Amino acid sequence: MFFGAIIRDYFVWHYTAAWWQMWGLWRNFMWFVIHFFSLPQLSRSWFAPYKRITESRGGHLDFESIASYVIINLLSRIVGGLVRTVLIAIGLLALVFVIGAGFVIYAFWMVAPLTIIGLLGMGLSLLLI
Amino acid sequence: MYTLYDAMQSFKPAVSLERMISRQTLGSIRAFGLAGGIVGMSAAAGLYYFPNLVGEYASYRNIAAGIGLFGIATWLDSFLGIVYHNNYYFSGIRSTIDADPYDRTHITYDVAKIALSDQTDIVKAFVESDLGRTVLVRSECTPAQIEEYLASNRHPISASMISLPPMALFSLIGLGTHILKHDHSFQQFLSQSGVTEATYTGALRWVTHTQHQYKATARWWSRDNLSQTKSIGRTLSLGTAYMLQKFARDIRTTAVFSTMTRDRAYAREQVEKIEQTLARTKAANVLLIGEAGVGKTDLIMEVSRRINSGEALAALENEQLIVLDTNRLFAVCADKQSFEETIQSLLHEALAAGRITIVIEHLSNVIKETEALGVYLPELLDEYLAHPQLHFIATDTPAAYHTHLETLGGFVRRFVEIDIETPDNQATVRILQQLALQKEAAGVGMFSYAAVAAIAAAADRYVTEGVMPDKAITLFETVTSRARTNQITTITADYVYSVVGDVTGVPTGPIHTNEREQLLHLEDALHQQVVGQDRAISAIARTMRRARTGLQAADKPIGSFLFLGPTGVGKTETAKALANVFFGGEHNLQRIDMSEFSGEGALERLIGAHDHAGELASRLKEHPYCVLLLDEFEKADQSVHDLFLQILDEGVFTDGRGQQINARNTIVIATSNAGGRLIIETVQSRQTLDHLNQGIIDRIIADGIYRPELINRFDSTIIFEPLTIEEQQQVAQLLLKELYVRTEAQGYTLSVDDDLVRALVAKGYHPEFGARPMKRVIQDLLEEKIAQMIIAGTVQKGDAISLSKADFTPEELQAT
Repeated sequence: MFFGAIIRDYFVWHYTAAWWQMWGLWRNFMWFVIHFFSLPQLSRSWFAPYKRITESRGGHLDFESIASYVIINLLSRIVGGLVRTVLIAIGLLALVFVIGAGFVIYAFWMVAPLTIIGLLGMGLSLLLI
Repeated sequence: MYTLYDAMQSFKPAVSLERMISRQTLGSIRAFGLAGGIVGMSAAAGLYYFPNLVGEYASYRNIAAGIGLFGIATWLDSFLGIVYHNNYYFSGIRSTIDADPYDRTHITYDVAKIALSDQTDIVKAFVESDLGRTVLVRSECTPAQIEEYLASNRHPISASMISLPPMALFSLIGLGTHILKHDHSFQQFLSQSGVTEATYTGALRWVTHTQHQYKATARWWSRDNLSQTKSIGRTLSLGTAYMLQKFARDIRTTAVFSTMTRDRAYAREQVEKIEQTLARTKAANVLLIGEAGVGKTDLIMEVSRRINSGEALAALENEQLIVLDTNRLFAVCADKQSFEETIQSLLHEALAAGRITIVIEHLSNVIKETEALGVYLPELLDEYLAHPQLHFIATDTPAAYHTHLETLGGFVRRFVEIDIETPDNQATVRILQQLALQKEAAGVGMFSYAAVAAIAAAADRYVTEGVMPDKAITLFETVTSRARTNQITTITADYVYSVVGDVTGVPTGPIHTNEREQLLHLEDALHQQVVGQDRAISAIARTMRRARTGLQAADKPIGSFLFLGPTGVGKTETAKALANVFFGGEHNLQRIDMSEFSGEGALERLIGAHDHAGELASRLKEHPYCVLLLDEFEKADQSVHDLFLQILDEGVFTDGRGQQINARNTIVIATSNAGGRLIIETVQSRQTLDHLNQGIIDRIIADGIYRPELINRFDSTIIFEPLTIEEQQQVAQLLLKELYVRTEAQGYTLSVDDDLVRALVAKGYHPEFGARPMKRVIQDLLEEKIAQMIIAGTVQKGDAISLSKADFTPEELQAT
């Protein structure tokens, strides 16, 4: 009797509340990826100098100091931009993966009970052949 | 009415599932299933793709695949089973930052599990459950008491009799409290087991909180737990202060106890203040002022944790807290120039990197050390303190703040001062509970809630050095190590008090047989040293008995008495007797001649100044558990009397160095000859002192010797009567007994006949001078006579010396 009640309650949960709970879980993982890669911060400072390494212009207006100021700052921004682009790309990939995995898990969730039956059936037939 | 019976119905399948197969077993099945799946499928793939390598075994591939598929099916089945069970198991355990909006359960899983185990007798179900049993054991109920209670005749409470509160989660606390309130037999059981309501509810909260904490940690997928991972993009979006990193230290190395942050309730308010200050656009620097050990660094750690997890104010997002390792800084920069250059570039870099908060511990010490290098740090820091892009958190003690920082004026105004108060007793108990769980996990016996509460209370009451919760943690460690040494398995409140008694010498905790006898016959114990003074001794004994039972306020000295009476009537002797009885010896009598503290500068000599310690402050620091005897109290300066108004009222005072000195573990006795003349006259006119006590006190007040508010602060004002001739006789016997001992120590046996004793008493009896003339008579006549005999060689070592009236001339024995 208890077993029947457990199975019934399980199926009710599996096809109702579990969907909402999975949505909460999915959101948590998406939030985690965004937080882990600091995507908003990296996007805001995409082309900012690498680790804020900059060269000040100095008081004199000579060619050497202007050149060093321009080159170093430009280089710093290029390096910063490149590194951030790579990290943003990895972060976005991870995010896309989590989003995609969410859809896959939802799809799998729908058929999970059937999958168990299927796997058991297939396993049994293979063992008996 | 929505009852526990209604609420538990939805949990029935999940609880049944756990009864059939525990979560642990389900977890093991899942692991085996996964392993079987992987092994089976890998073997099948190997047999299928490399038939030549395996030869005749290739035909087993179907069996391997079948086992693999079975394994995967088992894994998936148990996985879904656990996820399904989690849905109930974690209900009510909400994350602090991602409350589940779909959680509509009214009760926690633990309550449902208990209720479903016996819905007709919830109390029995509670007592027999693991959690309920833990609550009772932590309340110091013995298994035998619990069994006896279960076997007793009770009126059971069923699940349908418990109505649930609307809009609130009914957890184990709710269930335990409901049982306590509504089950009379349960109340009786607790009271017969010696468990107070406070202890039971404390244990209930502890067990419930531990269970919820365990579940919260197990939910690794909650946002709370996921946020603990440090972001990897932060250092790229912001700069790095290389120089600062070189002189930075891990904040965790100075935290007093990492458990304070667990006690969010206590930390929250203080942390919010720090966050709000750091989020300001101007003067966003914090100066945390609190005693050493109060947990300043732990609060900074909590701020850092909240910033990392995204719980802190949005304005502090990505802020990085770095502790400046000043020791390394001073080690590397040995001269003024290098120090200034380093600190300038370090701060400049931190400013450029952005979103950095520099933490400087013991700010006044750092300033003093830089002064030794010839650097004035406040000036160096000033520009950066004013900068909105760089923040500072400094810490210091109140004493150092008042002595050094307050005088710096403008510099201190760059900081917002936050006073870190000592956590209240409840917060300390919660901190100790966390430590107790850690110790229990490490194999030290089990702590009862009462033991943990007793540690907090005893540390506050009896440990004079340090501040809470640090001193409670130190006491906790002492109790733990003793329990380990003595192989104690259950650490109870009694055990804690016995350790405290050993450490301090002050009798604490429950009163045991020996001590009970001593307290009940305290008058006799005191009378062994003090002759007569029945009224005084009885008043002292009454007060001390009250103090020992804990009825007296804890924030005052153990007892305080003003002894009034003529000289030599036993005031000092009574103080010595109290030191003997309560603190185990006369060495714990601290005597201060208050006549030395009259005139200008008296208070400073007593409490000290910033450059020297005071007499009273040093005595109490060295002997926090003692009888403090203040001789000739009336001769002390008015300012000294004012100081004692505070000591007698609050049990503490602040010394000249700004440190708080604790006098709560002392018995304060002030003696005074004031009113002595009046007392003698009263007795001589054959009036009883009973009726004149108030008259004598009134006279003392009228004469301006003591102010009424000071006299009222003492627990008792005790009048010592002049000695009668019979009492003088007893005094003489006591003094002779001492002389016998001294003579015997020199190798002679002394005896004095009764006639001579009577003659000595007659000669030495002066009511206005008490026992002192008696002492002098014995000294001048007996000791002198014995000395003459020894010097003249009329007695040899081992001889008996017998003295009688005939050995003295009538002139010698004549009364003066």
